[in-house]
Amino acid sequence: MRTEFFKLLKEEMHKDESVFFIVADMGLGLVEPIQRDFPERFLNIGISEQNMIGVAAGLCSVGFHPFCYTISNFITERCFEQIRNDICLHKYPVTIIGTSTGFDNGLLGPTHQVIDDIGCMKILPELSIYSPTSLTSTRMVFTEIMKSRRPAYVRIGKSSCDIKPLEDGLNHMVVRNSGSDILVITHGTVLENCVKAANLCDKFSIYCMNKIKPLDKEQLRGLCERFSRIIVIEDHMVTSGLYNSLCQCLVEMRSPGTTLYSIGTPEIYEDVVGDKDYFADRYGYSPEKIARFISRL
Amino acid sequence: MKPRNLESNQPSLEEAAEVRRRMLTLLHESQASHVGTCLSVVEILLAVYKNVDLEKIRNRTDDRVRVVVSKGHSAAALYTVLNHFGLLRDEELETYHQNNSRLGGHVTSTVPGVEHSTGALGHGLPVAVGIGIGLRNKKAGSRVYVIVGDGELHEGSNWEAIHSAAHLKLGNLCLLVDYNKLSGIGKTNDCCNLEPLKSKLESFGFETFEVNGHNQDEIYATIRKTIVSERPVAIICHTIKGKGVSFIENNNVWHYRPLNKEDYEKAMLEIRAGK
Repeated sequence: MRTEFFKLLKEEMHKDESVFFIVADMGLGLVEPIQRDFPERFLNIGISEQNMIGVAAGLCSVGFHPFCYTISNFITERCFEQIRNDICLHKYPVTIIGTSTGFDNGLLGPTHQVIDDIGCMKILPELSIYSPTSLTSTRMVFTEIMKSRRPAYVRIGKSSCDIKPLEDGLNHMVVRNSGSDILVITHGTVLENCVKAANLCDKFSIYCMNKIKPLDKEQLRGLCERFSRIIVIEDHMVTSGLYNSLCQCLVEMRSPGTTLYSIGTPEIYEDVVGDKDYFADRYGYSPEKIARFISRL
Repeated sequence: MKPRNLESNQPSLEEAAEVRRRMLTLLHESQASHVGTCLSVVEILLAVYKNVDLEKIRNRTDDRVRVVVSKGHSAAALYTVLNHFGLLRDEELETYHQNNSRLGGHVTSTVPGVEHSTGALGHGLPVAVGIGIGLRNKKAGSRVYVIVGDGELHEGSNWEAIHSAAHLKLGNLCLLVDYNKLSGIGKTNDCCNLEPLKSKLESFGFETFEVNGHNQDEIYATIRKTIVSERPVAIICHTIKGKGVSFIENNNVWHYRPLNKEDYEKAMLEIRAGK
Protein backbone atom coordinates (compact mmCIF):
# COMPACT_ATOMS: atom_id res chain seq x y z
CA MET A 1 0.00 0.00 0.00
CA ARG A 2 2.89 2.37 0.72
CA THR A 3 4.40 1.71 -2.69
CA GLU A 4 1.02 2.43 -4.26
CA PHE A 5 0.60 5.62 -2.23
CA PHE A 6 4.01 6.94 -3.22
CA LYS A 7 3.43 6.03 -6.86
CA LEU A 8 0.26 8.12 -6.76
CA LEU A 9 2.07 10.90 -4.95
CA LYS A 10 4.78 10.98 -7.61
CA GLU A 11 2.20 11.13 -10.38
CA GLU A 12 0.44 13.95 -8.55
CA MET A 13 3.67 15.88 -8.13
CA HIS A 14 4.04 15.84 -11.91
CA LYS A 15 0.61 17.43 -12.28
CA ASP A 16 0.40 19.66 -9.22
CA GLU A 17 3.31 21.94 -8.39
CA SER A 18 1.92 22.70 -4.95
CA VAL A 19 2.61 19.18 -3.68
CA PHE A 20 5.71 19.04 -1.47
CA PHE A 21 7.09 15.88 0.15
CA ILE A 22 9.00 15.84 3.45
CA VAL A 23 10.40 12.76 5.16
CA ALA A 24 12.04 12.46 8.56
CA ASP A 25 14.84 10.17 7.41
CA MET A 26 12.49 7.32 6.53
CA GLY A 27 11.45 5.56 3.35
CA LEU A 28 14.51 3.70 2.08
CA GLY A 29 13.57 1.96 -1.14
CA LEU A 30 10.29 3.88 -1.37
CA VAL A 31 10.91 7.59 -1.71
CA GLU A 32 13.95 7.71 -3.98
CA PRO A 33 12.01 8.13 -7.28
CA ILE A 34 10.34 11.25 -5.86
CA GLN A 35 13.64 12.52 -4.50
CA ARG A 36 15.20 12.04 -7.92
CA ASP A 37 12.42 13.61 -9.98
CA PHE A 38 11.55 16.51 -7.66
CA PRO A 39 14.65 17.72 -5.86
CA GLU A 40 13.00 21.14 -5.37
CA ARG A 41 9.93 19.68 -3.69
CA PHE A 42 11.45 16.81 -1.75
CA LEU A 43 13.11 17.32 1.60
CA ASN A 44 14.65 14.85 4.02
CA ILE A 45 14.43 17.04 7.11
CA GLY A 46 16.34 14.54 9.26
CA ILE A 47 15.14 12.87 12.42
CA SER A 48 13.26 15.92 13.68
CA GLU A 49 9.53 15.30 13.59
CA GLN A 50 8.53 18.46 15.47
CA ASN A 51 10.50 20.49 12.95
CA MET A 52 8.99 18.54 10.05
CA ILE A 53 5.45 19.41 11.04
CA GLY A 54 6.30 23.06 11.71
CA VAL A 55 8.06 23.31 8.35
CA ALA A 56 5.01 21.74 6.66
CA ALA A 57 2.76 24.37 8.27
CA GLY A 58 5.07 27.11 7.04
CA LEU A 59 4.95 25.69 3.52
CA CYS A 60 1.15 25.87 3.66
CA SER A 61 1.42 29.57 4.43
CA VAL A 62 3.09 29.91 1.03
CA GLY A 63 0.49 27.79 -0.77
CA PHE A 64 2.01 24.32 -0.75
CA HIS A 65 0.26 21.04 0.05
CA PRO A 66 2.86 19.13 2.05
CA PHE A 67 2.93 15.38 2.63
CA CYS A 68 5.00 14.28 5.64
CA TYR A 69 6.22 10.74 6.18
CA THR A 70 7.78 8.61 8.86
CA ILE A 71 6.81 5.82 11.28
CA SER A 72 3.30 6.32 12.67
CA ASN A 73 4.10 6.82 16.33
CA PHE A 74 6.88 9.31 15.63
CA ILE A 75 4.74 11.36 13.28
CA THR A 76 1.76 11.52 15.62
CA GLU A 77 2.90 11.37 19.20
CA ARG A 78 6.33 13.00 19.08
CA CYS A 79 4.92 16.10 17.43
CA PHE A 80 1.37 16.10 18.77
CA GLU A 81 1.40 19.76 19.75
CA GLN A 82 2.75 20.81 16.36
CA ILE A 83 -0.08 18.92 14.66
CA ARG A 84 -2.59 20.53 17.02
CA ASN A 85 -1.35 24.11 16.91
CA ASP A 86 0.47 24.51 13.62
CA ILE A 87 -1.75 22.35 11.40
CA CYS A 88 -5.23 21.76 12.82
CA LEU A 89 -5.64 25.18 14.41
CA HIS A 90 -4.74 26.77 11.08
CA LYS A 91 -6.72 24.24 9.02
CA TYR A 92 -3.62 23.70 6.90
CA PRO A 93 -3.79 20.93 4.26
CA VAL A 94 -0.92 18.82 5.54
CA THR A 95 -1.13 15.09 4.88
CA ILE A 96 0.59 13.10 7.61
CA ILE A 97 1.53 9.62 6.42
CA GLY A 98 2.46 7.19 9.15
CA THR A 99 3.80 3.79 8.31
CA SER A 100 4.45 0.61 10.31
CA THR A 101 1.11 0.46 12.06
CA GLY A 102 -0.05 -1.85 14.81
CA PHE A 103 2.52 -4.59 15.31
CA ASP A 104 4.21 -4.25 11.89
CA ASN A 105 7.37 -3.61 13.89
CA GLY A 106 6.30 -5.61 16.91
CA LEU A 107 9.65 -7.36 17.26
CA LEU A 108 11.38 -4.00 17.64
CA GLY A 109 9.81 -3.43 21.03
CA PRO A 110 7.09 -1.36 22.64
CA THR A 111 8.38 2.01 21.35
CA HIS A 112 7.67 0.74 17.84
CA GLN A 113 4.30 -0.87 18.49
CA VAL A 114 1.78 1.61 17.12
CA ILE A 115 -1.42 0.81 18.96
CA ASP A 116 -2.46 4.19 20.34
CA ASP A 117 -2.02 6.59 17.42
CA ILE A 118 -5.68 6.73 16.41
CA GLY A 119 -6.67 7.63 19.95
CA CYS A 120 -4.02 10.31 19.97
CA MET A 121 -5.09 11.84 16.67
CA LYS A 122 -8.85 11.50 16.74
CA ILE A 123 -9.33 14.13 19.41
CA LEU A 124 -7.99 16.82 17.07
CA PRO A 125 -10.61 18.95 15.32
CA GLU A 126 -10.27 19.34 11.53
CA LEU A 127 -8.09 16.24 11.14
CA SER A 128 -9.43 13.42 8.97
CA ILE A 129 -8.07 9.94 9.70
CA TYR A 130 -7.69 7.22 7.09
CA SER A 131 -6.61 3.62 7.55
CA PRO A 132 -6.61 2.01 4.09
CA THR A 133 -7.16 -1.74 3.90
CA SER A 134 -6.19 -2.50 0.32
CA LEU A 135 -4.51 -1.17 -2.79
CA THR A 136 -7.89 -0.09 -4.12
CA SER A 137 -8.77 1.78 -0.94
CA THR A 138 -5.32 3.37 -0.88
CA ARG A 139 -6.10 4.88 -4.29
CA MET A 140 -9.48 6.08 -3.04
CA VAL A 141 -7.93 7.64 0.05
CA PHE A 142 -5.39 9.46 -2.05
CA THR A 143 -8.06 10.82 -4.38
CA GLU A 144 -10.11 12.07 -1.45
CA ILE A 145 -7.11 13.77 0.15
CA MET A 146 -6.25 15.63 -3.03
CA LYS A 147 -9.85 16.71 -3.42
CA SER A 148 -10.52 17.76 0.17
CA ARG A 149 -7.27 19.64 0.92
CA ARG A 150 -7.75 19.26 4.66
CA PRO A 151 -5.46 18.17 7.47
CA ALA A 152 -5.25 14.40 7.25
CA TYR A 153 -3.55 11.48 8.95
CA VAL A 154 -3.09 8.34 6.87
CA ARG A 155 -2.25 5.24 8.89
CA ILE A 156 -0.73 3.05 6.25
CA GLY A 157 0.52 -0.40 7.19
CA LYS A 158 2.64 -2.94 5.37
CA SER A 159 0.30 -4.85 3.10
CA SER A 160 -0.37 -5.55 -0.54
CA CYS A 161 -3.93 -6.81 -0.06
CA ASP A 162 -5.83 -6.30 -3.28
CA ILE A 163 -9.36 -7.29 -2.41
CA LYS A 164 -11.99 -5.51 -4.50
CA PRO A 165 -14.89 -3.58 -2.99
CA LEU A 166 -18.39 -4.89 -3.56
CA GLU A 167 -19.88 -1.40 -3.61
CA ASP A 168 -19.00 2.23 -4.31
CA GLY A 169 -17.57 4.57 -1.73
CA LEU A 170 -14.44 4.86 0.34
CA ASN A 171 -15.92 2.75 3.13
CA HIS A 172 -17.28 -0.43 1.64
CA MET A 173 -18.22 -4.06 1.97
CA VAL A 174 -15.65 -6.56 0.69
CA VAL A 175 -17.26 -9.82 1.81
CA ARG A 176 -21.04 -10.16 1.83
CA ASN A 177 -23.05 -12.90 3.49
CA SER A 178 -26.66 -11.96 2.87
CA GLY A 179 -27.96 -14.65 5.21
CA SER A 180 -26.16 -13.42 8.32
CA ASP A 181 -26.78 -10.59 10.77
CA ILE A 182 -23.10 -10.49 11.78
CA LEU A 183 -20.80 -7.80 10.43
CA VAL A 184 -17.08 -7.37 10.96
CA ILE A 185 -15.90 -3.79 10.67
CA THR A 186 -12.16 -3.44 10.30
CA HIS A 187 -9.48 -1.09 9.03
CA GLY A 188 -5.85 -1.20 7.98
CA THR A 189 -3.91 -4.38 7.51
CA VAL A 190 -6.12 -6.44 9.85
CA LEU A 191 -8.45 -6.87 6.89
CA GLU A 192 -6.26 -9.69 5.62
CA ASN A 193 -6.88 -11.75 8.78
CA CYS A 194 -10.60 -11.03 8.58
CA VAL A 195 -10.77 -12.27 5.00
CA LYS A 196 -8.86 -15.45 5.91
CA ALA A 197 -11.27 -15.94 8.82
CA ALA A 198 -14.18 -15.71 6.41
CA ASN A 199 -12.73 -18.72 4.60
CA LEU A 200 -12.80 -20.67 7.86
CA CYS A 201 -16.22 -19.53 8.98
CA ASP A 202 -18.67 -18.08 6.47
CA LYS A 203 -21.10 -16.64 9.01
CA PHE A 204 -20.35 -12.94 8.49
CA SER A 205 -19.83 -10.01 6.18
CA ILE A 206 -16.81 -7.68 6.20
CA TYR A 207 -16.92 -3.91 5.96
CA CYS A 208 -13.77 -1.82 5.53
CA MET A 209 -13.78 1.45 7.43
CA ASN A 210 -11.02 3.09 5.43
CA LYS A 211 -12.01 6.49 6.79
CA ILE A 212 -12.06 6.45 10.56
CA LYS A 213 -12.76 10.10 11.15
CA PRO A 214 -15.10 11.80 10.66
CA LEU A 215 -17.50 8.87 10.84
CA ASP A 216 -20.41 8.85 8.44
CA LYS A 217 -23.39 8.47 10.77
CA GLU A 218 -25.88 7.81 8.00
CA GLN A 219 -23.70 5.03 6.68
CA LEU A 220 -23.49 3.55 10.18
CA ARG A 221 -27.22 3.84 10.66
CA GLY A 222 -27.70 1.82 7.50
CA LEU A 223 -25.29 -0.86 8.73
CA CYS A 224 -27.05 -1.05 12.10
CA GLU A 225 -30.36 -1.56 10.35
CA ARG A 226 -28.94 -4.49 8.40
CA PHE A 227 -26.78 -6.10 11.07
CA SER A 228 -27.70 -6.73 14.69
CA ARG A 229 -24.22 -7.92 15.74
CA ILE A 230 -21.17 -5.86 14.80
CA ILE A 231 -17.60 -6.82 15.70
CA VAL A 232 -14.89 -4.19 15.39
CA ILE A 233 -11.50 -5.79 14.77
CA GLU A 234 -8.40 -3.60 14.84
CA ASP A 235 -4.70 -3.56 15.74
CA HIS A 236 -5.20 -0.73 18.19
CA MET A 237 -6.17 -0.27 21.82
CA VAL A 238 -9.88 -0.90 22.03
CA THR A 239 -10.22 1.96 24.52
CA SER A 240 -9.30 4.63 21.99
CA GLY A 241 -9.57 3.17 18.50
CA LEU A 242 -12.43 2.70 16.05
CA TYR A 243 -14.42 0.51 18.49
CA ASN A 244 -14.35 3.33 21.01
CA SER A 245 -15.60 5.81 18.37
CA LEU A 246 -18.40 3.46 17.33
CA CYS A 247 -19.49 3.02 20.95
CA GLN A 248 -20.11 6.75 21.20
CA CYS A 249 -21.69 6.92 17.80
CA LEU A 250 -24.13 4.09 18.41
CA VAL A 251 -25.18 5.52 21.76
CA GLU A 252 -25.78 8.92 20.17
CA MET A 253 -27.71 7.24 17.36
CA ARG A 254 -29.85 5.43 19.98
CA SER A 255 -29.27 2.12 18.30
CA PRO A 256 -30.41 -0.38 20.96
CA GLY A 257 -30.92 -3.16 18.45
CA THR A 258 -27.21 -3.45 17.72
CA THR A 259 -24.77 -5.34 19.88
CA LEU A 260 -21.20 -4.15 19.46
CA TYR A 261 -18.20 -6.40 20.15
CA SER A 262 -14.52 -5.60 20.02
CA ILE A 263 -11.36 -7.49 19.23
CA GLY A 264 -8.22 -5.41 19.62
CA THR A 265 -5.39 -4.72 22.00
CA PRO A 266 -5.77 -3.94 25.69
CA GLU A 267 -4.73 -0.61 27.16
CA ILE A 268 -1.21 -1.63 28.07
CA TYR A 269 2.31 -1.29 26.74
CA GLU A 270 3.91 -4.64 26.10
CA ASP A 271 6.79 -6.12 28.06
CA VAL A 272 7.43 -8.74 25.41
CA VAL A 273 8.12 -8.49 21.70
CA GLY A 274 6.61 -10.42 18.84
CA ASP A 275 5.68 -10.17 15.19
CA LYS A 276 2.26 -9.13 13.93
CA ASP A 277 1.02 -12.72 13.74
CA TYR A 278 2.13 -13.36 17.31
CA PHE A 279 0.17 -10.38 18.62
CA ALA A 280 -2.81 -11.11 16.37
CA ASP A 281 -3.00 -14.52 17.98
CA ARG A 282 -2.38 -13.16 21.47
CA TYR A 283 -5.18 -10.62 21.17
CA GLY A 284 -7.62 -12.74 19.24
CA TYR A 285 -7.50 -11.39 15.72
CA SER A 286 -5.61 -14.17 13.98
CA PRO A 287 -7.80 -15.77 11.28
CA GLU A 288 -8.41 -18.82 13.46
CA LYS A 289 -9.37 -16.84 16.54
CA ILE A 290 -11.64 -14.48 14.62
CA ALA A 291 -13.39 -17.49 13.10
CA ARG A 292 -13.71 -19.16 16.50
CA PHE A 293 -15.03 -15.96 18.14
CA ILE A 294 -17.70 -15.55 15.51
CA SER A 295 -18.69 -19.19 15.33
CA ARG A 296 -19.43 -19.04 19.07
CA LEU A 297 -21.65 -15.95 18.87
CA MET B 1 -6.97 53.78 8.40
CA LYS B 2 -3.63 55.53 8.04
CA PRO B 3 -0.55 54.14 9.70
CA ARG B 4 0.48 56.52 12.44
CA ASN B 5 4.16 56.28 11.71
CA LEU B 6 3.72 57.62 8.20
CA GLU B 7 1.94 60.76 9.35
CA SER B 8 5.07 62.33 10.73
CA ASN B 9 8.76 61.77 11.00
CA GLN B 10 8.39 60.74 14.58
CA PRO B 11 11.71 60.12 16.31
CA SER B 12 12.07 56.46 17.20
CA LEU B 13 12.33 57.03 20.98
CA GLU B 14 9.10 58.99 21.04
CA GLU B 15 7.48 56.42 18.79
CA ALA B 16 8.42 53.54 21.10
CA ALA B 17 7.16 55.52 24.10
CA GLU B 18 3.83 56.08 22.37
CA VAL B 19 3.50 52.34 21.65
CA ARG B 20 4.37 51.54 25.28
CA ARG B 21 1.74 53.96 26.59
CA ARG B 22 -0.98 52.52 24.41
CA MET B 23 0.08 49.00 25.27
CA LEU B 24 0.15 49.63 29.02
CA THR B 25 -3.31 51.16 28.82
CA LEU B 26 -4.47 48.06 27.02
CA LEU B 27 -2.83 45.75 29.54
CA HIS B 28 -4.18 47.73 32.49
CA GLU B 29 -7.74 47.98 31.18
CA SER B 30 -7.83 44.30 30.32
CA GLN B 31 -6.00 43.27 33.52
CA ALA B 32 -3.85 41.01 31.37
CA SER B 33 -0.47 39.52 32.27
CA HIS B 34 2.90 39.43 30.44
CA VAL B 35 3.58 43.13 30.99
CA GLY B 36 7.35 42.64 31.23
CA THR B 37 7.77 40.61 28.06
CA CYS B 38 5.60 43.03 26.09
CA LEU B 39 7.73 45.97 27.18
CA SER B 40 10.97 44.25 26.12
CA VAL B 41 9.97 43.54 22.51
CA VAL B 42 8.61 46.94 21.39
CA GLU B 43 11.63 48.23 19.46
CA ILE B 44 12.18 44.82 17.81
CA LEU B 45 8.62 44.82 16.47
CA LEU B 46 8.82 48.44 15.32
CA ALA B 47 12.07 47.82 13.46
CA VAL B 48 10.77 44.67 11.78
CA TYR B 49 7.51 46.23 10.60
CA LYS B 50 9.40 49.23 9.20
CA ASN B 51 11.17 46.77 6.94
CA VAL B 52 8.06 45.26 5.40
CA ASP B 53 5.61 46.31 2.72
CA LEU B 54 2.53 46.91 4.86
CA GLU B 55 0.19 46.97 1.87
CA LYS B 56 1.23 43.46 0.89
CA ILE B 57 0.56 42.25 4.42
CA ARG B 58 -2.79 44.01 4.47
CA ASN B 59 -3.75 42.41 1.16
CA ARG B 60 -2.14 39.07 2.02
CA THR B 61 -0.33 38.89 -1.31
CA ASP B 62 1.52 35.65 -2.00
CA ASP B 63 4.87 37.41 -2.04
CA ARG B 64 4.37 39.33 1.23
CA VAL B 65 7.03 39.33 3.88
CA ARG B 66 5.98 37.03 6.72
CA VAL B 67 6.43 38.01 10.35
CA VAL B 68 6.07 35.17 12.85
CA VAL B 69 5.96 36.20 16.49
CA SER B 70 6.93 33.00 18.20
CA LYS B 71 6.92 34.42 21.72
CA GLY B 72 3.15 34.44 21.54
CA HIS B 73 2.70 35.91 25.02
CA SER B 74 3.78 39.29 23.65
CA ALA B 75 0.41 39.57 21.92
CA ALA B 76 -0.41 42.97 23.44
CA ALA B 77 2.84 44.35 22.03
CA LEU B 78 2.24 42.86 18.59
CA TYR B 79 -1.35 44.06 18.40
CA THR B 80 -0.39 47.57 19.52
CA VAL B 81 2.34 47.69 16.89
CA LEU B 82 0.00 46.35 14.19
CA ASN B 83 -2.41 49.11 15.16
CA HIS B 84 0.44 51.63 15.09
CA PHE B 85 1.16 50.65 11.49
CA GLY B 86 -2.50 50.73 10.48
CA LEU B 87 -2.96 46.97 10.16
CA LEU B 88 -5.37 46.63 13.08
CA ARG B 89 -8.27 48.97 13.77
CA ASP B 90 -8.54 50.97 17.01
CA GLU B 91 -11.97 49.53 17.82
CA GLU B 92 -10.67 45.98 17.54
CA LEU B 93 -7.50 46.67 19.51
CA GLU B 94 -9.64 47.93 22.38
CA THR B 95 -11.28 44.50 22.67
CA TYR B 96 -7.94 42.95 23.71
CA HIS B 97 -8.29 40.20 26.31
CA GLN B 98 -12.07 40.67 26.56
CA ASN B 99 -14.78 38.05 26.25
CA ASN B 100 -15.79 37.33 22.66
CA SER B 101 -12.76 39.12 21.21
CA ARG B 102 -10.40 37.70 18.58
CA LEU B 103 -7.54 39.32 20.48
CA GLY B 104 -6.49 36.98 23.27
CA GLY B 105 -3.42 36.94 25.44
CA HIS B 106 -1.45 34.99 22.86
CA VAL B 107 -0.85 35.75 19.21
CA THR B 108 -3.65 34.45 17.00
CA SER B 109 -3.75 34.26 13.23
CA THR B 110 -7.41 35.18 12.92
CA VAL B 111 -6.36 38.73 13.83
CA PRO B 112 -5.73 40.88 10.73
CA GLY B 113 -2.03 41.12 9.92
CA VAL B 114 -1.02 38.11 12.01
CA GLU B 115 0.69 35.30 10.16
CA HIS B 116 0.67 32.39 12.61
CA SER B 117 -0.93 31.53 15.94
CA THR B 118 1.58 30.98 18.71
CA GLY B 119 1.58 30.65 22.45
CA ALA B 120 3.07 27.21 22.94
CA LEU B 121 6.75 28.06 22.71
CA GLY B 122 9.15 26.63 20.17
CA HIS B 123 6.69 26.54 17.28
CA GLY B 124 7.39 29.75 15.37
CA LEU B 125 10.90 28.99 14.22
CA PRO B 126 10.14 25.67 12.47
CA VAL B 127 7.14 27.31 10.82
CA ALA B 128 9.32 30.22 9.71
CA VAL B 129 11.80 27.77 8.21
CA GLY B 130 8.95 26.22 6.21
CA ILE B 131 7.87 29.67 5.06
CA GLY B 132 11.45 30.48 4.08
CA ILE B 133 11.74 27.26 2.05
CA GLY B 134 8.41 27.98 0.37
CA LEU B 135 9.20 31.60 -0.47
CA ARG B 136 12.56 30.61 -1.91
CA ASN B 137 11.01 27.74 -3.87
CA LYS B 138 8.49 30.15 -5.40
CA LYS B 139 11.18 32.75 -6.02
CA ALA B 140 9.03 35.29 -4.17
CA GLY B 141 12.07 37.35 -3.21
CA SER B 142 10.64 38.10 0.21
CA ARG B 143 11.92 37.39 3.66
CA VAL B 144 10.54 35.77 6.80
CA TYR B 145 11.16 37.29 10.22
CA VAL B 146 10.69 35.27 13.38
CA ILE B 147 10.86 36.75 16.86
CA VAL B 148 11.64 34.37 19.71
CA GLY B 149 12.16 34.87 23.40
CA ASP B 150 15.34 33.79 25.17
CA GLY B 151 13.56 31.42 27.55
CA GLU B 152 11.88 29.96 24.49
CA LEU B 153 15.28 28.89 23.19
CA HIS B 154 15.23 26.16 25.81
CA GLU B 155 12.70 24.38 23.60
CA GLY B 156 14.52 21.75 21.53
CA SER B 157 12.34 22.24 18.48
CA ASN B 158 14.09 25.58 17.89
CA TRP B 159 17.42 23.87 17.54
CA GLU B 160 16.00 21.37 15.08
CA ALA B 161 14.82 24.32 13.01
CA ILE B 162 18.12 26.19 13.40
CA HIS B 163 19.91 23.08 12.13
CA SER B 164 17.62 22.91 9.10
CA ALA B 165 17.79 26.61 8.29
CA ALA B 166 21.57 26.59 8.32
CA HIS B 167 21.82 23.33 6.38
CA LEU B 168 19.49 24.70 3.71
CA LYS B 169 21.37 28.04 3.67
CA LEU B 170 18.07 29.80 4.14
CA GLY B 171 19.24 33.33 3.48
CA ASN B 172 15.72 34.72 3.56
CA LEU B 173 15.22 33.80 7.23
CA CYS B 174 15.86 36.45 9.87
CA LEU B 175 15.69 35.30 13.48
CA LEU B 176 15.44 37.97 16.16
CA VAL B 177 16.00 36.96 19.77
CA ASP B 178 14.41 39.13 22.45
CA TYR B 179 17.19 38.44 24.93
CA ASN B 180 15.78 39.98 28.10
CA LYS B 181 17.58 37.45 30.34
CA LEU B 182 14.48 36.47 32.28
CA SER B 183 12.17 33.56 31.66
CA GLY B 184 9.04 32.54 33.58
CA ILE B 185 10.19 32.28 37.18
CA GLY B 186 13.85 33.20 37.12
CA LYS B 187 16.89 34.14 35.10
CA THR B 188 17.04 32.41 31.73
CA ASN B 189 20.69 31.52 32.04
CA ASP B 190 20.44 30.31 35.64
CA CYS B 191 17.88 27.80 34.54
CA CYS B 192 19.80 26.55 31.51
CA ASN B 193 22.60 28.68 30.17
CA LEU B 194 22.19 29.82 26.57
CA GLU B 195 25.67 31.29 26.46
CA PRO B 196 27.72 31.62 24.40
CA LEU B 197 24.62 32.27 22.29
CA LYS B 198 26.28 34.26 19.51
CA SER B 199 28.98 31.69 18.88
CA LYS B 200 26.45 28.88 19.18
CA LEU B 201 24.32 30.38 16.43
CA GLU B 202 27.41 31.13 14.36
CA SER B 203 28.63 27.59 14.75
CA PHE B 204 25.28 26.34 13.50
CA GLY B 205 25.79 28.48 10.38
CA PHE B 206 23.85 31.67 11.08
CA GLU B 207 25.24 35.08 10.24
CA THR B 208 24.86 36.48 13.74
CA PHE B 209 24.75 40.01 15.16
CA GLU B 210 24.32 41.43 18.63
CA VAL B 211 22.51 44.72 19.05
CA ASN B 212 20.97 46.91 21.71
CA GLY B 213 17.41 45.66 21.54
CA HIS B 214 16.05 49.01 22.65
CA ASN B 215 17.81 50.93 19.90
CA GLN B 216 15.24 50.72 17.15
CA ASP B 217 17.54 52.39 14.62
CA GLU B 218 20.30 49.86 15.27
CA ILE B 219 17.94 46.90 14.85
CA TYR B 220 16.50 48.50 11.72
CA ALA B 221 19.96 49.06 10.24
CA THR B 222 21.02 45.49 11.01
CA ILE B 223 17.93 44.15 9.30
CA ARG B 224 18.57 46.38 6.27
CA LYS B 225 22.17 45.40 5.86
CA THR B 226 21.33 41.68 5.95
CA ILE B 227 18.40 41.73 3.55
CA VAL B 228 20.48 39.92 0.96
CA SER B 229 22.29 37.08 2.67
CA GLU B 230 23.67 33.73 1.66
CA ARG B 231 22.96 32.33 5.11
CA PRO B 232 20.19 32.64 7.67
CA VAL B 233 20.57 35.68 9.87
CA ALA B 234 20.24 35.89 13.65
CA ILE B 235 20.02 39.20 15.46
CA ILE B 236 20.45 38.84 19.19
CA CYS B 237 18.65 41.82 20.67
CA HIS B 238 19.82 42.56 24.20
CA THR B 239 16.78 43.87 25.99
CA ILE B 240 15.44 44.58 29.45
CA LYS B 241 12.32 42.79 30.56
CA GLY B 242 9.90 45.53 31.57
CA LYS B 243 11.87 48.22 29.70
CA GLY B 244 10.75 51.78 30.37
CA VAL B 245 9.18 51.35 33.80
CA SER B 246 11.69 51.27 36.65
CA PHE B 247 9.73 49.10 39.04
CA ILE B 248 8.87 46.58 36.31
CA GLU B 249 12.34 46.34 34.79
CA ASN B 250 14.12 43.10 35.58
CA ASN B 251 11.41 42.09 38.03
CA ASN B 252 9.79 38.85 37.05
CA VAL B 253 6.65 39.26 39.10
CA TRP B 254 5.53 41.31 36.08
CA HIS B 255 5.59 38.24 33.92
CA TYR B 256 2.24 37.39 35.46
CA ARG B 257 0.99 40.33 37.57
CA PRO B 258 -1.58 42.63 35.99
CA LEU B 259 -1.24 46.41 36.42
CA ASN B 260 -3.49 47.90 39.08
CA LYS B 261 -4.58 51.55 38.86
CA GLU B 262 -1.80 52.91 41.04
CA ASP B 263 0.97 51.01 39.27
CA TYR B 264 -0.49 51.87 35.89
CA GLU B 265 -0.49 55.59 36.67
CA LYS B 266 3.06 55.45 37.97
CA ALA B 267 4.17 53.53 34.90
CA MET B 268 2.53 55.98 32.53
CA LEU B 269 4.21 58.91 34.27
CA GLU B 270 7.60 57.27 33.86
CA ILE B 271 7.05 56.59 30.20
CA ARG B 272 5.73 60.12 29.62
CA ALA B 273 8.86 61.44 31.27
CA GLY B 274 10.87 59.30 28.91
CA LYS B 275 12.83 57.53 31.61
